[in-house]
Amino acid sequence: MGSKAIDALESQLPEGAASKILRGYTFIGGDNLSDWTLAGQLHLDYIAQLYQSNDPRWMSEASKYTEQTGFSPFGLNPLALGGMGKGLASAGSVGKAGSVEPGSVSPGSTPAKWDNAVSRAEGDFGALNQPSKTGQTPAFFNPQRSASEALNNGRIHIDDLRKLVPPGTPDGFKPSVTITDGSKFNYVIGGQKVEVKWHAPDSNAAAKFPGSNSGAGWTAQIRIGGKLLGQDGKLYRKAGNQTHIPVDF
Amino acid sequence: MKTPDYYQSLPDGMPPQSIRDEFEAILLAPDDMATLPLTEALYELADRQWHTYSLLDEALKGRLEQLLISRWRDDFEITENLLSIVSRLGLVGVWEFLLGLDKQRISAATREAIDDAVAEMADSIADPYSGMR
Repeated sequence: MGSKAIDALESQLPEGAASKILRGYTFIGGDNLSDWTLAGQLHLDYIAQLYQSNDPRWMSEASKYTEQTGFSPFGLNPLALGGMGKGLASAGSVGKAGSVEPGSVSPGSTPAKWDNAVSRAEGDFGALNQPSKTGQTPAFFNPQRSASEALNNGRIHIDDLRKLVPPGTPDGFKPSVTITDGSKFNYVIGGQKVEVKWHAPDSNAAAKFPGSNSGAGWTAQIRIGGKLLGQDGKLYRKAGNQTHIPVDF
Repeated sequence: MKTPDYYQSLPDGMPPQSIRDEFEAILLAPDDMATLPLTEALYELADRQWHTYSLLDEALKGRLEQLLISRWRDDFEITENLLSIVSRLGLVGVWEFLLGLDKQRISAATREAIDDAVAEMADSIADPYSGMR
């Protein structure tokens, strides 16, 4: 089963990686069957129909699609394709597969229109979407979503915690008698303060609340704005056992 | 004058007396800081106090409540900070002050922050460690 709209769209795209990738990802019944849902297929079909009818809403819909599914075979955010419309793309403007590297510009040339902060902000905490201390805000970064998706049955793995920290962020943890080891990172993204920290068992917690998460083992606390992430993925103002998330190593 | 960064950089585990000294330093010269940085500093200290797993004495709580109520203004961030401080220290007086504000005269953002906090913690505001039991 396929999509006539997608077939039509594919026939209009230039030969090369773009159409092949699109076909590879959309062939229901093929190797990617397990990666697709009917809803995703219908959404993609809708986007193709908008594009066919020269409706500019295809870009915002495609953006929603890539945000919701993480699907972005071209490494692009459609919203970043300013001025692009039906019939404007050509083989020359798309380029060859594997030849496009964000940020790479030849001397004397200007960056491609798609090569901007927004287009690089694709995927959470991926190599192309690192929160910046310069105030540049990745378009799709959502601290709560990223952190809550890293939870696994109310626990979080140390590797996933580290992925929540932009590279280069200084570790501000200071050991004390009650908390001897740990890490703490603070950064601001989109005007929102984020603190990601994890630490060894807290002897105060162990003494006063035996069996509590914080007293029993390594725990993480993830503060987004003024709220703390709970083991259930929700945000809370009030600190408690469930805002101390057990860490797996 | 200490900055919010100073308070943020304090160790997470601090002796109660050290935290008390920091609170006292702010209470001695509260006008040294603008309201938002002041509430940010108090938030950081309140978080350290919470991690002592012990209650702040009532006299100090009372003085902090007076300061926070006197410095409150209709600002989303300030109100959010106050709500977080209230939750860490069990400041019932500040809580009742916020709930007593005329909802017709405050901004929608502030009103939503208060309503959200009521939904989360209205029944346990006096006990900062209710979530540990």
